[in-house]
Amino acid sequence: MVDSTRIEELLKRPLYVYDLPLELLATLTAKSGNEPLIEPTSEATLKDSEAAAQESAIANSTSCALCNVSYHNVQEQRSHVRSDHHRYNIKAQLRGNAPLDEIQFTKAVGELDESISGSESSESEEDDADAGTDTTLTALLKKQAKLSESNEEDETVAKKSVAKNPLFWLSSSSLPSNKSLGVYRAIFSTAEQDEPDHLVDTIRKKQLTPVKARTSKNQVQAPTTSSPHIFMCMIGGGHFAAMLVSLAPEIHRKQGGIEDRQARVIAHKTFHRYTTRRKQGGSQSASDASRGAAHSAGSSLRRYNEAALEKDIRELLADWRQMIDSAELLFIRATGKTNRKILFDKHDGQVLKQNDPRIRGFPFNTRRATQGELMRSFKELTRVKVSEIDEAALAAAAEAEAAKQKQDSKPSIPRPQQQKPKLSKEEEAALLHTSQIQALIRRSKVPALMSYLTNNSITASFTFQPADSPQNFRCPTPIHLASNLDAPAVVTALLVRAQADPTIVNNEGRTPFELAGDRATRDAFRIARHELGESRWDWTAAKVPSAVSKADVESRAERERKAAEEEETNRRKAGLERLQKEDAERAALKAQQAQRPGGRTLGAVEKTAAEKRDEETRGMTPEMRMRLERERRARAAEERMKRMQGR
Amino acid sequence: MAVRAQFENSNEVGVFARLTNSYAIVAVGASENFYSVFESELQDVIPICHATIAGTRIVGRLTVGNRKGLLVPTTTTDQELQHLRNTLPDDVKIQRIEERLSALGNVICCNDHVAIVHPDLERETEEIIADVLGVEVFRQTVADNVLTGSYMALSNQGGIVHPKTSIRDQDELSSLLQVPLVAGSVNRGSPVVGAGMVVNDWLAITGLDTTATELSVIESVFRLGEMAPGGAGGAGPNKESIVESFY
Amino acid sequence: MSMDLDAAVPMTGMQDAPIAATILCCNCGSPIDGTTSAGALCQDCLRLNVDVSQGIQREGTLHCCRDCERWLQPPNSWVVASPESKELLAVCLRRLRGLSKVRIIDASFIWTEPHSRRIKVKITIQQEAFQGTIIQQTFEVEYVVASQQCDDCKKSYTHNTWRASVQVRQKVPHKRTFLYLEQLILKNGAHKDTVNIKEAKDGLDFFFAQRNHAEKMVDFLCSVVPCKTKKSQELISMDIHTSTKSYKFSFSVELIPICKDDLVALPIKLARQLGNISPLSLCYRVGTSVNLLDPSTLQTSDVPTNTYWRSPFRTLADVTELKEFIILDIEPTGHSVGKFHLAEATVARASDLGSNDITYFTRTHLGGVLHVGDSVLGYHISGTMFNDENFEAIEASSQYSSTVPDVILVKKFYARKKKPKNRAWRIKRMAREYEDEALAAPQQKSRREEQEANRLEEDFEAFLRDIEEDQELRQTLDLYKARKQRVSDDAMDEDEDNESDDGVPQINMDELLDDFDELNMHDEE
Repeated sequence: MVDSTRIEELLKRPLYVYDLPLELLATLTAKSGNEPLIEPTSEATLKDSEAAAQESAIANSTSCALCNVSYHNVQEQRSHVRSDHHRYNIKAQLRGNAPLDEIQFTKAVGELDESISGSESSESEEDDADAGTDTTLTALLKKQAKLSESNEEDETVAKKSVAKNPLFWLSSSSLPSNKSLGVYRAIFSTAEQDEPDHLVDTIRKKQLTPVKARTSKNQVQAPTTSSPHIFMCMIGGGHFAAMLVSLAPEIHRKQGGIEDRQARVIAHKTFHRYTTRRKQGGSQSASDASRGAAHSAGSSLRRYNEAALEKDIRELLADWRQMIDSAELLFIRATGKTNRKILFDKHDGQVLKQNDPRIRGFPFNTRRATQGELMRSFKELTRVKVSEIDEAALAAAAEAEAAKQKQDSKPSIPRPQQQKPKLSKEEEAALLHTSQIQALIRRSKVPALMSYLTNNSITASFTFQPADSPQNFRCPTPIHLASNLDAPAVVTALLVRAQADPTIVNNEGRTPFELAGDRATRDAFRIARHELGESRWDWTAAKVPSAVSKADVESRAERERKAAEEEETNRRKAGLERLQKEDAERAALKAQQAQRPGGRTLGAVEKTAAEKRDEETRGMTPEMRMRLERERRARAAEERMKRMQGR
Repeated sequence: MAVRAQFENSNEVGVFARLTNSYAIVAVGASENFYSVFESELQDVIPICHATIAGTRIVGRLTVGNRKGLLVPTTTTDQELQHLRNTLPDDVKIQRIEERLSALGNVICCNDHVAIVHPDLERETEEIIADVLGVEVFRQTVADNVLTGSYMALSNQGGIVHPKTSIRDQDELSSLLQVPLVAGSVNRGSPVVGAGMVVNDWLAITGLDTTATELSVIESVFRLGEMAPGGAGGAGPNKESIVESFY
Repeated sequence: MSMDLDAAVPMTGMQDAPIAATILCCNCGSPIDGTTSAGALCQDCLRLNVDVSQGIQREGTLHCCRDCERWLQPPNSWVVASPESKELLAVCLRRLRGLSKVRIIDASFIWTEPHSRRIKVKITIQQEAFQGTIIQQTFEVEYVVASQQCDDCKKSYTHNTWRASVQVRQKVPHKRTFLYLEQLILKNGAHKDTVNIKEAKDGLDFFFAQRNHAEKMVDFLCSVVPCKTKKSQELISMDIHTSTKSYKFSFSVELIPICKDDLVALPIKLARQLGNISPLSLCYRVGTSVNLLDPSTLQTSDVPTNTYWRSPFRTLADVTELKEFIILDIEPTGHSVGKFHLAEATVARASDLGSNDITYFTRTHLGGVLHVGDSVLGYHISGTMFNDENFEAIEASSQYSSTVPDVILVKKFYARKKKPKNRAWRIKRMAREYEDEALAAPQQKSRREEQEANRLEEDFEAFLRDIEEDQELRQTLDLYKARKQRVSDDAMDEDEDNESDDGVPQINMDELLDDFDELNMHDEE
């Protein structure tokens, strides 16, 4: 009993890889199977023992009413209050929207393009939103990539990817057998990773003693190179955050005697520049490369900002060169060509090298590059995961898995060999049909498609071959494809005339309706529901909303078109009025200026030199412009010479 | 100790002054009455600075600070900044902030350890607050008001929030800040507690209109009775023994 | 003054859950729930401290006109309102300043003795005291009723309040034109602005408070009757400093002294100008100009007003000189113009029947209505001595002397009772003030006055008969249904008289209007 309480005590606190309790460290062993475990469901963190000593007057609220989240201790509460989720909810509340709970929020992150950034100034909000979508987009992409990867693994399998698993699992004799501890592989060097057997030893070697927090007096940044430290940086969407963090934890003594271990940040820096294109996303340089240089004010701003960001970052890295060179590991997140270029491209005083063995990616999803996110990543990386698994159940599951794999392996092994040399006739025909039908749907040839289907007596619920191609993964049937391509006419034809089954789900578990990208297509489904009747298909299973008649849709479309037209005319009118007013104002201004020759009006907007130049060159051919430019330069040079002589 | 004062017929003491554990800033007024209240309480304990911010007297609403630092808005002139640097102790970091919400005193509420800020504050500002004031920064609202600095008065000992704050919100905030909180009012029912008073660990100055009830609430939540100047804390039990030995 | 305060009503209403006290009332220190309280005050303190009726007057003055019992609605309108009525409450509430800023929930009168000249009103108001807290409060307001004579009453008690007068004159011995004019004025509401109307010799005087009212009246007259106007002004006072003057204006309107059915002898020159009409002609209508008819040829002609005043002529004979003739023989010639049908008739004077056999041959325009044996009214020219230059000129002229007929027939004569009481219709009259009303005591009317009254009555009867006989005339007037009561009273008489009135033109009931004013008056009686 005593033992178990002690262990519970051990697990109560978050375990820091570099400062594990001695009794735990001594008994640590690598887990034999090193099976990828189910994600740790509950991180065993409880309130500090000291928390009990808190004053009774200080309330101990165990939940956040706004976000509907409960937590165990103040640290959790504070990290929750800092989280994007809480921030989003505060803003939503202020705007009168309903706050989301945690699950809804994570779900919504994929769809939301609302900014949850800290800076709310109207200017930065938009591009934050861009950045937000950027990150969420990448997150989504990653998710899908993982999905397909795992799929492939499932099918081709056989080989267990021990190395691929980001976590390294350990067990301890002092812990119950169903508890295992996980450590990210990424925190070990490549050499260490190669010898998984010695990982436990390396962990033992890496233990550090916590450092007492220095008093505030000499808190001025004096980076000490002696202690082991790592470098972390994230770059994306104009945001850049970098941090040098010491691996030795720091003990802070808080008021009330709470001892708190914190990561000691040696240096950190964040930049944010406006570089992503609003509403379109993507960096300006990428856009320039693909579409040719744009000449808008925004584009030049972004180009400038990109350059400035690059300069800032490189200067910063140069400043930190010494520290980075001595860092144990470099965690870098830089997606996209431009971002990698900023860090790794050859330039004077280049600090990071692409082939540096210390460089690691973050082995988990990260969000927008901020100091807070870096901190979170650091904690995630260095915290020991505690997972509780019923060994017996696991074993049973593993057995079942193995059996299944054995079964699978029989057909799956010969298949890849067979497939290439000879395909069965049916398969050949199916492949032909697939390509034909897909082509017809792509080109929205409804009559041709219908006749093709009837001539070859193919049902509308025909499954595309080969089923494992990435495209057919998402759109296994014609109706899926039509819906995905937003072809309402084809959808209607397939549903109404060819009697396609709308309840079939694709490999992602989605019905055709869920793939529809625009309203017309969605309406096509609803009209079909109306025309075919409720009893024809299980429409709820097909996720098609309530039926709507064609006339309704048309009248609605008409109404909307009218509204849009009206809005357009209103807008035009307003614009015209504004122009007229501006003209009048300009005339008035001119009159005023005419009245006071020589004097400068205070209110008038002075044109900048650049604007003036722009105005001059407007409407000129490039040659003319070049000549003008050359002249101007010559004049400027002359002027300089003159001044030099004068001085 | 809680004292009542008035700045030129205005009860909104927090508008015209900023009080921390290591310094006080008082607006330049036509009469010295207000200043003399501070002087009588704080003389020889902490420096009191006569200052304007951006040429205005609403120094309490434009600035925010604690023992470790002081933040002033971007509108502050260089001269004013220099004056503050000259007057305040050297270990107090003074920083000018480029922030759209320039009434820092209204949007930030802090003690020496934590700060509750307006949810729309810029991220850079948040980082500066954390650096200069050495506090943990939380974006929160007080009784659904974003102006945390206006509706909350906070010291290391306790805090008082808008009277309409629900018990649940109070509990959450209290646990977040790790100080006891109470809902209350100043200046005879005014809910703008942040602007109606200034407080540090051993002194609170409220508007002249503040009722005895309000004053007693303030004294109890900020534990002003037991604290000695210097904010050392824990003097409560000692004091008694000192008095006993005196006789 | 009493002021009772109702309990403060918190916006959120009474919650069922037990109230958890979160703050102390800033005034008394009692624990209250801060989330629902108003401005950190408990309900008792709120009640004591907040007076939402602050700034609303608790006493006021109402002005009432003693004569017409109307109430002054500032700035200057007077409304009729009975005591304790909705209207009076409206007047009372409108008098209170500051009441517009609050929400009035209820208001009612508290009974007071009328002779106390006080009115008490109990008002309940609501106002938001702090955010989210509404306070309801009831208070009384006492009004003192002061008397103030209203403008209308003032006017009625003051002499010579007029600023302008219109004197309408027609120099004829009868009043028929004025009777007609009266109806026109009534129909068009032209008398609305008059301060007073007085009857004078040969006409009427209209008095107005403002000059433009008088001018409007003159314009109206010029548009309906042929007349000549003259304007004069009298200086009443003048401020020599500002040269502000006040005048009294008089408009003299003289109507052409020619009426319908009058016989005129035109100056021959004028007759030639007017389409060479026979100088001896009959006036058959008076509109804005005088319409003349030659009964022997049915030729018609208009005499415009200014033409008339350039060469004025008088009537040769008017309706009082009409004689009764009996048609002995009539034969239409077939020529007709409008409603006139030319016919050749042989007539004899009704008074000659039985005494002699003198008959007259004449041409008449009444061929459509006359039959053998009918009585007809006409001028007996051959038997009359006219003292008229124009007539003499006609007789002297070689061209026209031979065309002067012996008799000119004017209109068919319907035999009826002297005074038919039971007309199914009636016309409205204007309230007039006789100039010498004050002097004449009713019992000692002088002979002259009696004569005058008789004549007026005769004129009125003649006018009524004209209306009955002339459809065209009728269309320009408003006729009303007679009160039913009287009809039923005289039902017996009517039956008896029915036969004698046979053939007399009657007015169709459809043409008559219902007189609502009169009915109302009748109900009250």
